[in-house]
Amino acid sequence: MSTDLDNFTGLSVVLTGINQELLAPSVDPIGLPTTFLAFIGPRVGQSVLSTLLAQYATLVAEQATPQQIGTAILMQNGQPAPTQTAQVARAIMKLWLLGVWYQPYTQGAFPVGEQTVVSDEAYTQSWAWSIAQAHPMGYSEFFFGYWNSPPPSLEDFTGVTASTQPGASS
Amino acid sequence: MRMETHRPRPGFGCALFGALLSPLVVAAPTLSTQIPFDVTATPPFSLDSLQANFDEMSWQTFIALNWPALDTGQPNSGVQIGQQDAATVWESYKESYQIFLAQGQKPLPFHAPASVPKACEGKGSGRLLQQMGKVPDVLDEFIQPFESGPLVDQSGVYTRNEIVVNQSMFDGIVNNGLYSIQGQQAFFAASPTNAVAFSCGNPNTSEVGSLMVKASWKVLDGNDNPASFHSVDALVYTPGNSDPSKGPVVAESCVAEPVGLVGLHIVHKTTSAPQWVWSTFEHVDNVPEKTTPPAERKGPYLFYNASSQAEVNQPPPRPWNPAVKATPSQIVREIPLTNETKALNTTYQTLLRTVNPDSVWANYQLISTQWPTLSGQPPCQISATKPLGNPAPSFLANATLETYIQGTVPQASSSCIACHGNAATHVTQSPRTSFADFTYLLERAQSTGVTRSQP
Repeated sequence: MSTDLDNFTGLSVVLTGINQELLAPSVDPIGLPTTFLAFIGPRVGQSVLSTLLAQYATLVAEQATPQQIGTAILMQNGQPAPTQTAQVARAIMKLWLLGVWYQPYTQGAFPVGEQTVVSDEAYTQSWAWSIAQAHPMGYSEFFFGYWNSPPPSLEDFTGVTASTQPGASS
Repeated sequence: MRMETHRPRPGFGCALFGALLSPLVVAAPTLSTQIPFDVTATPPFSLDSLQANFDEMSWQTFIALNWPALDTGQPNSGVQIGQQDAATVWESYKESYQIFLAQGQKPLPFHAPASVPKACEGKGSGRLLQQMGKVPDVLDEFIQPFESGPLVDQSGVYTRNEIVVNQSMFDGIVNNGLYSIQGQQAFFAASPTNAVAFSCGNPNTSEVGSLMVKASWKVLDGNDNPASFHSVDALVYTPGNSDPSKGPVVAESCVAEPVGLVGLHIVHKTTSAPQWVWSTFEHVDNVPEKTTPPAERKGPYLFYNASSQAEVNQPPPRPWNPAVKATPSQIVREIPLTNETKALNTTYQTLLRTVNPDSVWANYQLISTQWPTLSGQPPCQISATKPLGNPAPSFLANATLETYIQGTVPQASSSCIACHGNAATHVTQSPRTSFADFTYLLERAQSTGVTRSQP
């Protein structure tokens, strides 16, 4: 039986398209999935979160493809779904990409539109930087002089095949 | 030195650790002269299990490096560690001041006797110690990229530090001419793919690979119990400074004194850890943990006074002058040892006492081991996209070596791998990277005075 953390991680993989070993490594000293799940729980409400994770788990059990799971969660009649679960799913995508939680609707003391950088690690590990083949402002792992060389490929950063895009091939 | 570039692929999970899997499952702790070639990872893999494996490697390395040495520097297999306190294996390694010489001169061979300053001549054959703190102001040119300061013992005396390298690393420096600025320039100019990359420990070839050891020592005096320390007779040297614009005016001096080991970093580059494995040990009496209530800090400690109300973890006020007695440091450990590390320490300390109930080595403890969690890279290769390898734990400090930068503040607190990832050679005008493979030692290279020809 999968846990909420398993389902949240699996859902995040589907929503971002980044494989699990990169998004949530099995040996992980940072642990963003745990941080994120604990952070969003009170902000989206346990009922909505449980519904979203159950929806994902059901689709997985039905052997839906990632594309089918994403469509089922995010879309309705060919348009972005207005449901709270879809709003939360979109906020989770932005959370992984930017390290910022954009409050999708008012929930208790958390007003809609509130923006919060979840943690310093959420910022430095956010995926927008890797997708840009760059590093966060104010934080770089790259060695001295890296600016004199082309960055690694998009595939190297994200594990996603994108060979037709400029700079993507390795 | 590595001469090629490589672009790794992410997403192989624990494949590399799988390759290092021990056929013996879990070996019982032993006292051995053999430095581990790499970590022995035992499944099922998790952050905690691998941390335990690396901590085990740290203790095994500590024992092998502190084994009594023959005059050749090889371990004396005819005795056990701790039977008597004796000169150790790592103390035969080459000290940094013997490698990066004035005018960029070529170092003497690895086993050649150390030369000493004139002020120390005729004062015995003790171990030369001169560095005070990781950033010892003007008294030593060794610069690290953070503001720090000297550590002062309860007698008001500065601790002294040293850095040594094993023969693999020494050869990597000397054979590539990296001991001088001009040599570094020539190395990079020789090929556009040349990069500083020291050798890795490799179980498949039974190579230990490159090792660095950083040690901190305190001068032993009437306040100390010498029998509780690994001790050596040292020549405590203070270089002179006559230029007030460069710091306090200090007369050159050299005093023969017994010193006791209080801190030991062991840094080992291996196949599975091209960001090196960072193990750090301390004397058990150094400092209390911050989380220990003050009323329970009984001591006595070497760098903390339980009856003092002084603010903790503050460097002494400048000027830093080792010739003048200073106010004792008041130091606590910011990050406590984990229960697992404490248990492992007890295991090894107990084992060491089976050789000799009074073994000095049982008075040392592992603080932790920092290692790169990222796997899936080809052996001994650094990821292009995650060059620091996602180190665990995120922060690690030795209370005697990173005294004033302990803590958990990103970009400010001590993280061995993150800090040393900024190490560069002297060749900063190179049109490409001059990364120094996680060692600041290469910044100590001096100029031969020869002007480089222009292209």
